[in-house]
Amino acid sequence: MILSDLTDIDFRNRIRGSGLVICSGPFKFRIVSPIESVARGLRLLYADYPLGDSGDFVDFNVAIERTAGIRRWWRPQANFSFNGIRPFLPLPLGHAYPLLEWAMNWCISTQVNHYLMLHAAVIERGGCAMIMPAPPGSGKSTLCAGLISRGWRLLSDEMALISLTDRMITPLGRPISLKNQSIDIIKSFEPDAIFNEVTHDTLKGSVSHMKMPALQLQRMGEKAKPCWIVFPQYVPNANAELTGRSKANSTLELAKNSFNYMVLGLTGFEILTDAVAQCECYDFRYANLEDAVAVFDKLVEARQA
Amino acid sequence: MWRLNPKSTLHFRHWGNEWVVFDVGSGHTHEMDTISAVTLMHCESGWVHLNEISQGVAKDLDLPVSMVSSERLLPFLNQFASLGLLENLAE
Repeated sequence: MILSDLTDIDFRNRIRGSGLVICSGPFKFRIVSPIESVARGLRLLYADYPLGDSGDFVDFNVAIERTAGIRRWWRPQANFSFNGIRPFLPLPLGHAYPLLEWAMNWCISTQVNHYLMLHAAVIERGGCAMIMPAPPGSGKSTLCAGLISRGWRLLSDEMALISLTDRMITPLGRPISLKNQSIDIIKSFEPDAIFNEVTHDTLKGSVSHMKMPALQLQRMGEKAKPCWIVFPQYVPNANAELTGRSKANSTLELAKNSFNYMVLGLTGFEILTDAVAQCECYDFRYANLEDAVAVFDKLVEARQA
Repeated sequence: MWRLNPKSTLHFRHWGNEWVVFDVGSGHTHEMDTISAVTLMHCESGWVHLNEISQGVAKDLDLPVSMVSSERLLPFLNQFASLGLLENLAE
């Protein structure tokens, strides 16, 4: 069963009651929230996601609820909780949906150690995965959203999950978080893309989430082999250009961008260097998405030749 | 004389002249070139004189000793010591 199979009443009973169990990649989240904007966001962005039963074992029990107390009358806020613990300060009620998405990422990045996890977008084509690590503001998510609209498959917008056993990358398959001008850029680049309502004045500016294409979601079980590591950077007026970069330095940068490299110790080093060894490593500067698509298409052609 | 910090265990990986070295003791990863990596390897088995390191590195890499002389290696060794990878005993 997928979320869109639920009637409105069933959906509301689950999200407000025993919890809505959503399967995202290898993880199950049980989500409880009485907040209307959270319900709308989930209904839209997770419509095609498989559901678990309310009694299923889940990886993460999360809730987004209104704060109590007298302040709720003039400054309503939303509080996130994970297994009953509230790790963050509350945010304005209007920020409840992005808070849920950020907090779901936080759950994975802080609790999971059976993958080497890199802070990076990952896309796939022909069974080959491209890992794109980059700091906020580099244009990583915009590039990722653009490429999945032109033949690439989204594995994750936020984290690369590299298996400790077979070294393959497991799809996480979550909505893509876009900020500020990137929202309109992608709406114009891919008019069929589906976006959640924009939340303004967050710590990251204006934020919206783009739904993962349904056909790509159906391939959530398909792992991919790491083949390219690309460090993207949006540079106004730059020509789209790939330049080779050092594997040793790429290893260090990826280690810095990892959530649990230090926790995994020698295993993390071995998994990471195995991944780097089999990848081509590049820096990538771009200003225009169509040009970026053309450069990445050539990369695929070169590999297949 | 120099030796590897007894708390360190090193694992090496390289692509041509690019090396990464993982220290299990600290959990840190270091990036270096071949001469630096081979210099570290010569300190793994216990206290060793600077001259012996120089001669060993020259032999392993098939280089003239002048290219990896004690004077040339000393800054690398001092840097490794400052990173906690090596210990130094005044000669």
